[in-house]
Amino acid sequence: MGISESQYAIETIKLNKIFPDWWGRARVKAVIDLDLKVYPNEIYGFLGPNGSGKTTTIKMLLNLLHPTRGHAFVLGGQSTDPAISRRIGYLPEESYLYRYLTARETLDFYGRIFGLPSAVRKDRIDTLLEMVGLAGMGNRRVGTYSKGMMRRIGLAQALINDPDLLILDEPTSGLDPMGTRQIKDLLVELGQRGKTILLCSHLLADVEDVCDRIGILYGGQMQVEGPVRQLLQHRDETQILAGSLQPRTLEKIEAIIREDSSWVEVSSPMDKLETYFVNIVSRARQSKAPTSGAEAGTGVKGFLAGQVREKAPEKEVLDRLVSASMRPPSPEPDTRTEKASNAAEKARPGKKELLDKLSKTSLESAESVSETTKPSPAPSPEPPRPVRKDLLEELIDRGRKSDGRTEPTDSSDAEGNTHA
Amino acid sequence: MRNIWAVANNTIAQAVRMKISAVVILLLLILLPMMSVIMIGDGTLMGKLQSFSSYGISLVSFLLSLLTIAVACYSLSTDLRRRTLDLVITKPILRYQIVLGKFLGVSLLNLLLLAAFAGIVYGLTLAIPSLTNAEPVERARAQAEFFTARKTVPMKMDTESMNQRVQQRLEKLEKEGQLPENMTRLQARSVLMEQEQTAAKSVELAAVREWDFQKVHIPPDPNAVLFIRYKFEAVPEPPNSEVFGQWRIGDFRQFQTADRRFMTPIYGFERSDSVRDVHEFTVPATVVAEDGSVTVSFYNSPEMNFSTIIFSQMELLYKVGSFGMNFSRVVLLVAIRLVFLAAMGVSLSTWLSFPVAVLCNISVFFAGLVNTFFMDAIDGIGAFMGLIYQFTIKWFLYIIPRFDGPYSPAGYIVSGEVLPWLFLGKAFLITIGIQMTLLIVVGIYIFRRREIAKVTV
Ligand SMILES: Nc1ncnc2c1ncn2[C@@H]1O[C@H](COP(=O)(O)OP(=O)(O)O)[C@@H](O)[C@H]1O
Ligand SMILES: [Mg+2]
Repeated sequence: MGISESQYAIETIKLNKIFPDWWGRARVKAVIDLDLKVYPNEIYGFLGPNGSGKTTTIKMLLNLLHPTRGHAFVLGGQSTDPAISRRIGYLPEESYLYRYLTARETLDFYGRIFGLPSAVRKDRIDTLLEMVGLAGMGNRRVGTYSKGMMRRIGLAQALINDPDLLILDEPTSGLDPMGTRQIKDLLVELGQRGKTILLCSHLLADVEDVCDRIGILYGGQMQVEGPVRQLLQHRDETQILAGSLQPRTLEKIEAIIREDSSWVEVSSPMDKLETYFVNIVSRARQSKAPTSGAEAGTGVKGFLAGQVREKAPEKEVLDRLVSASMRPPSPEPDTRTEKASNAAEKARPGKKELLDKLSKTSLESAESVSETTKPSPAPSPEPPRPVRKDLLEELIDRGRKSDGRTEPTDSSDAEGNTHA
Repeated sequence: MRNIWAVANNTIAQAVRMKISAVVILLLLILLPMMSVIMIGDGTLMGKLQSFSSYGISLVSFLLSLLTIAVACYSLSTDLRRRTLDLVITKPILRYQIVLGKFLGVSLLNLLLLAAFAGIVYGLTLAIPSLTNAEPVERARAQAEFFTARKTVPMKMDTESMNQRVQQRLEKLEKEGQLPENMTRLQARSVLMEQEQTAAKSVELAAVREWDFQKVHIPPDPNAVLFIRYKFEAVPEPPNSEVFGQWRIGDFRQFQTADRRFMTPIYGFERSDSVRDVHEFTVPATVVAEDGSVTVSFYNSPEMNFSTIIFSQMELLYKVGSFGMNFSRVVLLVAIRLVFLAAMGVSLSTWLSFPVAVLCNISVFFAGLVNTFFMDAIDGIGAFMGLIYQFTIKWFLYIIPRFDGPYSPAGYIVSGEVLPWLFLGKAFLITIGIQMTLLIVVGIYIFRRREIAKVTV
C-alpha cells in the first residue's frame, strides 16, 4: 500500500487549537486556521520561533491533543487507527523514553508494539543502534544517557518500523554538530527512499540543506509557504558565482551586464535562510500578528546571528570529517583533504547498506517515485548539491538566452577553470 | 494481546525498580522468618501456629495491598506526567490496550509476590511443629484442629418463632398495662428478645436440650469424625468451675421407628468441662443419618450439677479438606483483593494525579477493612440516624468491596475452618466481576477521551 491513495501525506483543514485556562476561558491561541499540506515523498520544513505552535500542530496530527476546531489527517486518516500509525515514525520534542529501560530494551519494546517478529526486531535494533552511533552502548539504561544520546535513541525508535511518514520535532536539539550532520544526511537519504518527512525546527541551518518545501509559522498562523529555492531566490536580482577573477575580466562582465540591467554590484550576496526567516518574523511582528510564543524583540536576531557565527567554522571541519562535502573542494587540491573525503566516500556505502537493510523499498524504485512525484528535484546523494548550484543553473539558462557568454559553472568546472 | 503484554512487561520492569517494591519485599523477607520464631501465641503449639500463620498472611496481604496501590497509581500517572506515554500512544496500540496492559502488569507482579510470600508463610507454618519440642498430645490437637479444613455447622436458632413469642408477650404486657413506665416499646421489646435468646441457649437443671443439625454431608472416609465444639457458662457458678454433662449424639428419630432397627449408631458420653472455655470432642462420623441430619443432646443431671447451663457456642464441625487446600483458597481471597486494588489504581490514575489517586485508593482500602463492621454497626443504630446513614455512608460502603469479617483471610486459618468455594465464588463475582470490571470500563472510557498531551499546572 503506497501513500498515493491519498493526495496528501499530511493535511490539516482550518486547524485551531485554543488552550483554555483553569476556568475554561480561552487563554492561548496556539494554532489558528492552519492549512498544512505535505505531499507524499516530500521533506517539509515546518519552521517557526519558539512557541509558534509547531509542537501543538504535531500533537494534533498525532491525536495527542484534540483540535479545538478543524481537522487533521495523516496518511489520509486518523493516527489513532493502527493501520495508519503503523506507518508513522515520531520523534517528540524531547525524548520521552523510559529511563529504566536500556537502549536495546527500548527499541525492543516499540518493535514489539509494531508487531515485528523477534528475529527482525533484533536485526533492526542492531542496525539502528549502529546507525545512530550507539552500537557499543545498547545495554546501558537510557536514564544514564546524555541528552544527545537520548535524542539518538529517540530517532532510532522513530525508524524502527521503517515508517512511510516521519514526524520529527526538532530532531537536532541537544545533538552535537556531528550528530546534527548525521541526521541531516540521514534525512536526505530517507527522502530519496520515498519517505515523507515533516521536519519541525527553528534551527534553520538544519532545514535549509534538507527540505524540499518549508512553511513558516508565527503566532499559530502560517506566514509563508513554498519550495526553499523559490522562497530564497531574489527574483529581481541575478547572481553570478565564479572563481576569483582578474579585475579586467570583472570590468568586462560589468559592462556586459549593464547593457541588460540598470545596476550591478560585484560581491557575494549571502542571503541565507536565517535572514529570510528573521525578515518574515519581524514583518509579522510589525503587523501585530498575535502570538503566544516568545516575543523576542531584537533578541531573536541576535540569538540567531550568534548561532550562525558559532556554527560556521565548525561546519567546515565537519564537512571534511563526516561525508562528501557540500561545497566544492578548495581550488588547490590538498592531499590531506583528498584522503579525508576519500575515506568519507568509502564510509558512505556502508551507511547506505544499513539503510537498505532498514527500508524495504529498493533504492531504484524509490528514486523513480521521487522523480515523478516530487514537486522539486531531490538533492542527489553524491555529492549533495548545494542549493546555490540550483540557483546558478537557472541563472545559466537565463544567461544563455540573453547572450550565451556566461559559462556554466559547477563545482567541478570551477575547479577545472582554475587549473586551466 | 501482544500490545497488552508488551505494556504489562514494561510496567513490571518499571514497578520492580520502585523503591517501595524493594522495601516491601525486604520487609517481608525479614519479618516472616522472624515472626515464625518469636510469636508464641498462648504458649501451646496450636497457639503458635495460629498466631504466626494468621499474622503472617495478614501482613503479606496488607503490605502487598499497599504495594499494589502504590504501583497501580504510580505507573500510568507517571507515564502521563513524564510524557513517555506520548510516544507509546502514537504507535499502533489502542488506548484500552494500554490501560489493560498496566492493569495486567501490576496485577501479575503482585500476584507473583503473593504466591511467593504465601508460599513462605505456608512453608514456615508446616515447619513449626518439627522445630518445637511439643508434647504428642499437642501435636495431635494441632493436627486435628489446625492442619485441617473443617466445615462448621452452627447452632440453629429458630428466630421466627422467637420473634413471634416476643411479640405475643409484648402485646400481652401492653394489654395488662404492665410495661414499665420508663421504657419505650422498642426497649421493652429488646429486653424481651434478650430473655428469649438466653432461654433458648440455656438448659435448666434436670432438663435435656437437643440441637438438630442438618445438611451434614461428610466426605466418604471410614475414619471421618465429627467435632462437637461448645462453650458454656453456669449460673450459679459451680464451686470448681466445672460442669458435668451427659451427651448423646446420633439420629434420634430411630427411637420412634416401629421395629427400632438402628441404621446408624448413637453414642453417649459423660464428661466434665470447665466453664467459659471452648471444648471439643469427637465422635465417629457414622452417627450422621443418610439425609445428613444429626442431633446432639445434653442432659443437665441434678445429681451432679446444681446450676443452669447457658451455651454461648455450640457447633458441629467436620473435615472437608486439607490445610494446604484451605490455605490456597485463602490466598485466592487475598488475590481478589489485590486485583481489585490494581484495577482501582490504574482506573483512577487515568484522570487523577499520583497523590490524589493514591489517597482515593487508600481510603477505599481502609474503608474496605472496616466495611463489614460498619455495616453491622449502622444496622444497629436507631431508626432516624439509621435512615441518614442508610442513604449516605451505607450506600458508599455498599459499593466498595469488603476486606474484613468473612473477607479477611486470617480467620479461616486460625480456626482451621474451610473457606467455602461458594463464598469465594461470590466474592470473585462481586469484587472482580462487577466492581473491578466497572472500574476498568470507566477507566478505559476516560482514557480514550482524554488528551494525552494535556498539561495542567
Ligand atoms: N498544554 C498547554 N497549555 C497551555 N498552553 C500551551 C500548552 N501547550 C502549549 N501551549 C502554548 O501554545 C503555544 C505553542 O506552543 P508549541 O506548539 O509548543 O510551540 P513550538 O512552536 O515552540 O513547538 C505556546 O505559547 C505554549 O505556551
Ligand atoms: Mg516545540
